[in-house]
Amino acid sequence: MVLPEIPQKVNRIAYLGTPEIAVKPLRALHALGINVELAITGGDKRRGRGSSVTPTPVKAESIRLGIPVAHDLASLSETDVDLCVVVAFGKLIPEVYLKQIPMVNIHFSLLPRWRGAAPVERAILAGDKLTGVCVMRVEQGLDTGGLYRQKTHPIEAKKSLFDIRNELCDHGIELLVDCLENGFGLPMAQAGEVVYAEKIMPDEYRIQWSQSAEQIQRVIQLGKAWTVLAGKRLNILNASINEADVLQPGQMKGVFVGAGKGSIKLSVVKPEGRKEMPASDWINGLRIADQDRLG
Amino acid sequence: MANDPGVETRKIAIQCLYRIEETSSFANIIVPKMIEKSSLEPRDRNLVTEIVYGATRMRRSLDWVIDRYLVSQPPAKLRSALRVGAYQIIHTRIPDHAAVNATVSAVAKKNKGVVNAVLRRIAEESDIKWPDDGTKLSYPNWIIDTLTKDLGSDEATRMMEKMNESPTVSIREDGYYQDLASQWVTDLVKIHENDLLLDLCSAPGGKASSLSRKARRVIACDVNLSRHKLIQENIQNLSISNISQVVSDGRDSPFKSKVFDHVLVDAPCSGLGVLHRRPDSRWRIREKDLDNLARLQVELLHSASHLVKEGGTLTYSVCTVTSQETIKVAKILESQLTNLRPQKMTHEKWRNFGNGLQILPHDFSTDGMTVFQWKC
Repeated sequence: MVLPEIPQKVNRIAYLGTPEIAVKPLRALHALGINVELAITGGDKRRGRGSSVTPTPVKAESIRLGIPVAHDLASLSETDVDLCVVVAFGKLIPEVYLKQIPMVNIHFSLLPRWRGAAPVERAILAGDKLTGVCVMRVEQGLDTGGLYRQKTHPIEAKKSLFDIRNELCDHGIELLVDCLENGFGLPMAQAGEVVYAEKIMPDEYRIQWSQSAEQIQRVIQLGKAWTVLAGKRLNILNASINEADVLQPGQMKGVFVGAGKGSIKLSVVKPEGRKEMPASDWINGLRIADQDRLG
Repeated sequence: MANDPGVETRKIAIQCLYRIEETSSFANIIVPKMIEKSSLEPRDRNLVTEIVYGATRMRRSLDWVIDRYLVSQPPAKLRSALRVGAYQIIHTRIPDHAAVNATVSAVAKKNKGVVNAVLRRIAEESDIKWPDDGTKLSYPNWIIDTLTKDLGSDEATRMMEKMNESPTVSIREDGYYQDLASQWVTDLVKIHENDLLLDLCSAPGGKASSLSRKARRVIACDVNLSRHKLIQENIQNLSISNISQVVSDGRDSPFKSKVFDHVLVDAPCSGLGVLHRRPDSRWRIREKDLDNLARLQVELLHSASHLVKEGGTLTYSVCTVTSQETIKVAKILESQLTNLRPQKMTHEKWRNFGNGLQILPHDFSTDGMTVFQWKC
């Protein structure tokens, strides 16, 4: 398939993105004076309680910036743009549009490692020490396109997924701006082992206390980790690894919980039906028997 | 007496009128809402709607009738009650005694005396001697003057009388409620099955949905995000799959130049041809709004004209009939864009109007509407 070339000077773009993470790049492009002619975003969804629907973060921001918005790609064919910038759009782009307009994507991994929907999450869970971000060509295949710019970034255990992704996003914006200001140039082919980053299933956020403290800490890093105590759900929002303590998996002693190897020190939790709180407060209000286990 | 539906009907009508006047609520929003909350039968619900819409349209004339029997300005709630009573006596077939009794029963104790006295005296009058047409027809003077200047006194009076009646309801073949004049606008756009259309001011999507039946695809553009929800609902209800929605200001739309076979600009306007449909709008719209709307229409048409393919058509429609928002806009556009060639249209229902067509509300009991078309 022959894809259209990116012009040396990009004047008008369409922006394809949906969630909160895609808001910052849109804002940056707009602030840079790039003509964002149209934003295409996912459909309005029901969020929270009640039956009213709310627009996606990208839609809300586009309206605020006075950028035209559409929900489907169909109107792209009639839109006067040189380039589409794709950031977390959430839908596959049919070939017919790829043939019409050159498209680039900000992708949050060191490709070809972690192609797909959840690259940052998978990099954290796999214990990668290093990740990165790139500006790449969008092709028919899933994240197979050539790379225009790439930058590496460390994964620190004390940082949350949210923080890491935000940092990657900032780097991604710098790379994209560089491409727009100095020309995209020729893309490099991806080289190395291909690994796919499947979407995270809800089950994967449930902590398996038989795993090592290190692995459990990675799940907690993702921000949605949960476990169960006496039939009630407990979300664990922040914790750290404690090497020394010797406890059975799931066994609790104060804010320490035993793991398959090492233990976890809980610091912020959210018990079912209550607000988030320091783990010590939660423990103080708790009556636990010796045989009680998290899990 | 408290649960008498006749009294309840008047109570709700008074409450609606009061809200329209005091909090600038829109009649077509507040009335359905208040009715929904009530336990009234469908017949009484219709009566609430008729009284509130009617009393809102006839506000000026009712106030003149009422004020002759008052020595000072009544508080808003009391005035609403007097209007509700007077409207029933003068404009409905409800027997006078029933109208008076039910209305008196619906007001607070302290107001019963004055409401009773004023309404009885109005009921006793056999023939009201109106001071002038503006009071009798119940329009602001500027609307009377503008319509008289543009249409002549005869047509203007007939039009204004017609717009004091409740609108007729018409349903399309596919079940969508749309006034016949709007349906006849879409008839004027000559479409081939492979055509690509742009409806630039599309909400609520009535015209786009009917055009989409004949075209390959329609882009429904509108600047207003919340009104796009209406378009979306209508597309879904009608099971239409070849309309794409774009939220955008029509003056600065994202589209390529010269790609559409037809562009329809059903422009924002004063709506002076649909005053029967929007009872409170004659009191909302101001004379100076017409200037701004006409300017907006020129800008929209200007942008739209660049989007039409060579040989394609640009259609401009408004639900008003004043020359400022129709023929003058067309002239300005033609003087600026010499590639536009006025397109002669023929349709049995429409009157010729300059190079365009016009329908007045009293012609076929529809909305008042004006259309121009150009070949690009």
